[in-house]
Amino acid sequence: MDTEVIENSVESTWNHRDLLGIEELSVADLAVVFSVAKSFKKTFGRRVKKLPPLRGKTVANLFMEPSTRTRVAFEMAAKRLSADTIGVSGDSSSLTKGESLTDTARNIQALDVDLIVLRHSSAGAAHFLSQRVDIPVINAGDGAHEHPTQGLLDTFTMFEQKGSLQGKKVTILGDILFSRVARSNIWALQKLGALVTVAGPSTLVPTRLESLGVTVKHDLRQALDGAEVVMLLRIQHERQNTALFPSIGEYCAMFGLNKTRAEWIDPNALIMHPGPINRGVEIDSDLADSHRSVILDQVTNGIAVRMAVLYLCSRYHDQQRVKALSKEGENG
Amino acid sequence: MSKTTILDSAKVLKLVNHIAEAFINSLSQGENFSLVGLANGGVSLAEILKRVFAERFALDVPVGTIDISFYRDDFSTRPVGKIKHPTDLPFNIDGNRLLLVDDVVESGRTVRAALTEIFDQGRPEWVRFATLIDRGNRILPIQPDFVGKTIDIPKTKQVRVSLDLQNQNCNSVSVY
Repeated sequence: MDTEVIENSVESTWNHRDLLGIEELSVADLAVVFSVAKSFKKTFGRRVKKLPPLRGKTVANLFMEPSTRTRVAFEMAAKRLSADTIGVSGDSSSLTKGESLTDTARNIQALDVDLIVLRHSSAGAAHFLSQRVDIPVINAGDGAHEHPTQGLLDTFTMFEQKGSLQGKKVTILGDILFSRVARSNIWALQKLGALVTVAGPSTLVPTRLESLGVTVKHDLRQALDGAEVVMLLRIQHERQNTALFPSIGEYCAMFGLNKTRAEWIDPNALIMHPGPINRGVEIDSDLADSHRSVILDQVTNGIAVRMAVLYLCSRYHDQQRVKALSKEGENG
Repeated sequence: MSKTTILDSAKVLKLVNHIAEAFINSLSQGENFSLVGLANGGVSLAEILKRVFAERFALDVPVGTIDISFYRDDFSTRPVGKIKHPTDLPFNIDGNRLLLVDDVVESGRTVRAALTEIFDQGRPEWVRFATLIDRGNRILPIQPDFVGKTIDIPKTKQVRVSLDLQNQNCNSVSVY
């Protein structure tokens, strides 16, 4: 996809009520999201930050797993579009009293909510929910499956900085096996024509990942050599006690991005991280703050991209509803 | 569909000059102002007016653009078109005097949305509205302050305005 494709993308081609994963999106869908996100980003910095498209609507943020930045970015995106937001988190909801996800969601819909954003520890949770409610469901991360808005904001950031990603070497470094961020990025990057290399400890980057169409490297030098984008994944401390994971010190020594290793990558390479970063573990502190780091751009773009997703799904749903109503009118 | 050209480039230029002159005459002594072109049709008209203000009145007028896509009132029923000229108001709105321009006015909904967007960004001292073509069919209490030409055509007809700052010999207004 080059810049022209973005410029010529047409919003009316978007036909998804839900955003469950990047796997099911087309290149045209990605272009529409980037184009709308770009328009929303241009409104940042205005004195009044709100825009009216979702005025009168309520967005429920169901976060059944801990999250800070994704939850805040979704909440901010909804509010900038003038929606009201309610937040439900796993530990404070009736889920702890044994209520099922379906019942929680149905109850929320009965409160006349217009859109659900769901973060859940089980892969497929957003898909499951979308079949049981008749309002848009946006997947904010489901187990080790997908985190589509993270994949969109990461590739949007790359696109913004690098233009077309066709043929560009993008290296994803870290725990690929359990990472929904990696999976969503791999889908998006492949659709955009990038050459994806994944690297990390062999227990977390199994060779069978090659079936996804990526190159697997366990030699860090080969993985980083000439990379135009390096995406570091967060070390998930919670997995440290499993047999799959090396110790923090070992990981840092073997796979941490430091000054020496940063010389292997392209001089103009982007350094990305979905956050929260463990300074001195995945990445040296200096590199995280260097001019090549776009970590904070990712945070800003997270709002623009989520505004675009909320806007597109909500609008498509409204249009379908208006169509259904007018059909009913004709028949009645 | 048959096409009738109702204004050629010479007539368009005459009308733009007429709008510029009427507007300048309406100003109080020493009042400065900024131009706001309503995307998409008003963007070129604002640029042409800027040139007329510079050449005939020796005024250097700042120009901004307003795109009402996110302020539409038919959000759910109509696909939003491609944003070619995103909103960009490179001047302070507070206390500013604004001449809002569009190529054609019909229902008045676009102007209503533009005013909402402008007032979301600040509080201008006043806003005046100029249009090249007023084709009637208004549904809101909104009237242009300066009009090039008023035309009376059936609702089913379309007005197409072609304006190009670089190639003004090709400017025209047609009815389909």
